[in-house]
Amino acid sequence: MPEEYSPRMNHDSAAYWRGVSAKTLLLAHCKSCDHWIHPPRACCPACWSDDIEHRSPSGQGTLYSYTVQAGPGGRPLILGWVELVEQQRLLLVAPLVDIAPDAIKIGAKLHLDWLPFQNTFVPTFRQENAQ
Amino acid sequence: MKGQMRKVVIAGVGSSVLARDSGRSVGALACDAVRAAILDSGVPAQKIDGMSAIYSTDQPTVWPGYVTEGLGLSGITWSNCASPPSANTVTEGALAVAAGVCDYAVCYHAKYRWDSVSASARKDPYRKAAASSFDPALSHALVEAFGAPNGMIAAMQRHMHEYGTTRRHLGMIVVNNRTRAQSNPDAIFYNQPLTMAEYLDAPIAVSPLSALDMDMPIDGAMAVVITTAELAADLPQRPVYIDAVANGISGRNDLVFQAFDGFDSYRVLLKKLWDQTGYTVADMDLVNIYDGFSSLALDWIEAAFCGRGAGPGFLEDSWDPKLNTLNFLGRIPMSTHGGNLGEGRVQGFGHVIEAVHQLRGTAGQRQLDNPKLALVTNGNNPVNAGMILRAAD
Repeated sequence: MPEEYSPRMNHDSAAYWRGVSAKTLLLAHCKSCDHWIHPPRACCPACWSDDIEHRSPSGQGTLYSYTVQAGPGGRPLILGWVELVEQQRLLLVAPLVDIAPDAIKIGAKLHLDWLPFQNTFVPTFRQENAQ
Repeated sequence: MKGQMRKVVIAGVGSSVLARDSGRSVGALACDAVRAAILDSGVPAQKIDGMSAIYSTDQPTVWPGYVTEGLGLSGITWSNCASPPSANTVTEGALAVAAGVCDYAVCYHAKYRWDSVSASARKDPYRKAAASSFDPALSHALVEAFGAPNGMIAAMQRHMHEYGTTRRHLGMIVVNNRTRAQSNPDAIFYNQPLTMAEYLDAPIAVSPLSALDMDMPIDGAMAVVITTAELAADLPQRPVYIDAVANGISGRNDLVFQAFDGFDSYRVLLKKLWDQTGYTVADMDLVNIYDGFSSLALDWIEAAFCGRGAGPGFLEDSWDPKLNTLNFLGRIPMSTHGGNLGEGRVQGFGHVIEAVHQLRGTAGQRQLDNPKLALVTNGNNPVNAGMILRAAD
């Protein structure tokens, strides 16, 4: 494991990674047609505009699907496909935290939280009413 | 195919050994398969003038230059290294021969049990894969630690949530393919049948899939020789016509973020095949359905036969619990060689080879009664391919 986590980034994804390192979700968004784009791209797939900005969504979403597998130390790693409230099928793929595998329900309301990881952070989601 | 194209046929097929540990390099396996296909076709090696391969799926395989040098093929004037899936080699070769840029194209795919596959493979010094990988959306870096297969598994989880699909439905696909593999002596699971009870007892790997739902990594390569119907008249094998081919990359198709749209991309691809030929799926006598995961086969079956979400009921109607096989529309068998799940993972190329064997009558103990038409589907979302093959009169 390298001492400093260094993600593979390019011109399209650099803003996303800058956001992650500052605990801010920054997603590509088309100014011309108000379309969210993730994974990020330089041209809007909906209207072909190049007028792309990066914006922070609310961090609220619902669970669209998930997988459960053995993570570090045998603990279950739950990976969620979270549909953000801003747009149908705007999916973020991120670990779900503080939830037991048998308590997961597709459609559950979730909110964004950040987990420290080496020199940066990882976006995660937890249940609305948990904590 | 339509237009001013020449009629194309598959004139020969060949395979390397299929094994967990073949004792041969991936390049040697590719040469084995190409050599076998050329010998089967009866075309003199110096007449082979076209070659088509795949550059990579999860790891690089071997490019045409390696095989031409390995077999001393000195007459290649059309070569191609297509994008995945494996059957794109065949669709590209068919187009080249149809267009007249070459007369005899050999098309192949090789797959290896690389060190990325398992702990046991990592202990083998001869299994180190090259570093580059296939990344269709350049987006895996956002979540690459989690791995692309997770997207396909999440897609199945969603299918179960929306349509009430159960493990038993996936089991019908897996058990059918394992049953079929019992009449294929080359299959990796030959002499290892599987019952539905055994399938349902298998430990879950990543819910809802068990290891039985995932194709078995093996060393293996396969090849076909494509030529024109006219030239095939002088060759020894009964030719198999390629009536239609299509390569799909449609809609939202990122493996990790948008793995949920497989059905739509398969539907678009299959419509193209039906539109080109005027056939419907009910005209088929055999369907060889891609089964890298059982859940991918479920999506393909829905797209081919019954529509989104109707798969579970359709499988129930098609399931024969006595024979442990699926028979679609009361008569159409699936993947008589065992598919990837039964024969081993050459990433769907075996589905092409099997269709050729069945349609020319060389399928041995598993030969169907005079089949005329076969549908082959290949790959998953985002990249997929398909073809309709027809027996000579």
